[in-house]
Amino acid sequence: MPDPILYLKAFVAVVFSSAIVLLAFWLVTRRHAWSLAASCVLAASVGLLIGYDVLLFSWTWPPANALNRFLMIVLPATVIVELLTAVCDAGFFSRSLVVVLRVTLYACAGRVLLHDSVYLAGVGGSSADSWTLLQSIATLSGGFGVLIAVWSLLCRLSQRSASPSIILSLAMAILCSGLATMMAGYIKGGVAAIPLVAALVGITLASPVLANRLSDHGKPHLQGTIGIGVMGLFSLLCIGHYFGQLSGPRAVVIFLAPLLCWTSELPVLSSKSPFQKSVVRLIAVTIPLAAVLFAAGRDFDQKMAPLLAGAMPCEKPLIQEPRPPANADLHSGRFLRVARSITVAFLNPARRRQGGVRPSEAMVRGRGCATGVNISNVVQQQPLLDEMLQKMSLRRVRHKPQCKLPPGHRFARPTSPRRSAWGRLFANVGSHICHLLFERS
Amino acid sequence: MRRILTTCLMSLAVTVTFSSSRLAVATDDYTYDLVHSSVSFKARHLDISWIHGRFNDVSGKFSLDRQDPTKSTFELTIKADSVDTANPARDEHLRQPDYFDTKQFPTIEFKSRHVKAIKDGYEVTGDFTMHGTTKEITFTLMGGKEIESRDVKRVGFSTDLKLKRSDFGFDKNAIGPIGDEAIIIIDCEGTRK
Repeated sequence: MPDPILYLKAFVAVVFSSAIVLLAFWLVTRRHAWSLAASCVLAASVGLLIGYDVLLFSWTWPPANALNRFLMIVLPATVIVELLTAVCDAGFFSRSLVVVLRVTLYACAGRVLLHDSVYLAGVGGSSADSWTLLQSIATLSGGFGVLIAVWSLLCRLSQRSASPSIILSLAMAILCSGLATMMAGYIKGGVAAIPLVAALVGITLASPVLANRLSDHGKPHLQGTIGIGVMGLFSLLCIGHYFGQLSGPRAVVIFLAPLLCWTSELPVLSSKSPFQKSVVRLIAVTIPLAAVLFAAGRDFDQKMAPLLAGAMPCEKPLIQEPRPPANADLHSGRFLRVARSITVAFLNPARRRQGGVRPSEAMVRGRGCATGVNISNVVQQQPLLDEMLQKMSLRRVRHKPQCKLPPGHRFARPTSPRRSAWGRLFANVGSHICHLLFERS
Repeated sequence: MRRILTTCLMSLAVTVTFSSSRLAVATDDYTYDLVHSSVSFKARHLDISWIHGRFNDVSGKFSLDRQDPTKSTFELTIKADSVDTANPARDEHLRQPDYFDTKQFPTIEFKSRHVKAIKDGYEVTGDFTMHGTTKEITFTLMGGKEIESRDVKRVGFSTDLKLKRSDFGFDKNAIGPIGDEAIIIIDCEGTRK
């Protein structure tokens, strides 16, 4: 069962240990960009060790499952490659050797994570999920290509501006992957993201202070941390998707979200200050991640929450209605309606000011028994509500609606046709984006 | 001399052939009958009640040597993703790595190593592999009486196994409201022509 106190302890322990170790390494090493990069990698690895130990992760050899292979093979190999890369910048190693090592690691990561699983058992294996040789090659090489593309693009961006916002974006993506994996039912797979996020946060907090004192100020020093973050994100998403129930489109959105940091390099924003650019990056990355979390939360409410609700007393239904048939079209339509009503509520300030449909109220309409109060029956009134919303946007409501609503729920007050048209436009665009992103998965 | 030697060798060969064929006849090979068998389990929930479930996809074979029971063998293979607790959402959750991890460990297997005849059954010792961990277990298999029904010979067995999930690599921290100990109930029939 999830233990938030333990997670919080682990998070704080990793943040502090990463920051302190980074400062300690910094004191004993020379003040160059490469030594700071190496210190960041070492600090992250020490923080990760402490974090996984606090979270009571098992360290058994040989690693039996994907998570253990990530912790005992992929992550240490990544740390070694990143350390060698940092040291290579000082001229101790040939750069080509490090490049070969990195490419080998990235090519093997997917294969290592899927080792001995049903996917690689070959056709005729014990499961219908087994891939053919062609499927295996396509999937693993596709993963390799995306992994190396994301890493190289983020490194390229960090060379243009060594801003900690890139690391913070990666941390947000890893946190999102952990939460989405947990909400899909794989708790331990989600918890594994916590030390990674905390290590990146710790380095983000400490490294800018040190970077200002570099003798070669301005040189990139975050590439090692980016390497660990990208590999961690890739591995957690692989584990969540192939071994848990994290859907493919969501995993792809989360993995590609940090690339939106490149929006700060648009010509329109070229004159902005570094701080403003950092804010733009974080906002750009947050939007798709928030959408993924929203969809993951919706699925959690539908699938997992009833399991938990079964263990907890649920209040009596407020409105007695027959249960709707459980088919996908209905859920899909329901989601679109809820998305539309939320978007209308958010994007139509006049309606909010006048005390009409509030965002929280709109969200509440889409939630089920997991909220503690059984309001799922309210959703069954949704077609009627939608019809009324549509009518109200064109003319004033003269009659009170006939359907019964629980106390505190109000219908939207009429607004001017112009505002409603804008609201409807945004709502339709929003719902179509949501449909493209999530419903097709 | 050569003739005597040839005769001796031939008689030895005939003896070996007959004795081996007699051995083969002494062992009855049965196939697991999925229609008339079940592998179910129950585990404590919040330490106040039991949650029941079953595995729908099971295969196996056993051979019984009536004259020398120590030569009998039992094998059972359970597909872990066929878990069924009458709640699809819970079944999906049980297939995930926090529990059975069916993508990594698709089967639960048992293979006997020692069989001993006891009153009304057999005492079977063998390797039980679940969640990637193999442990030796011993249990009492009741039954073994053969009957013939519609030209098919049938034999039935039943047993209860008590296992601790933590012994088989399940995460101790993830055990939560479901008890560590699980009881597996096997009632199976084997058929042969």
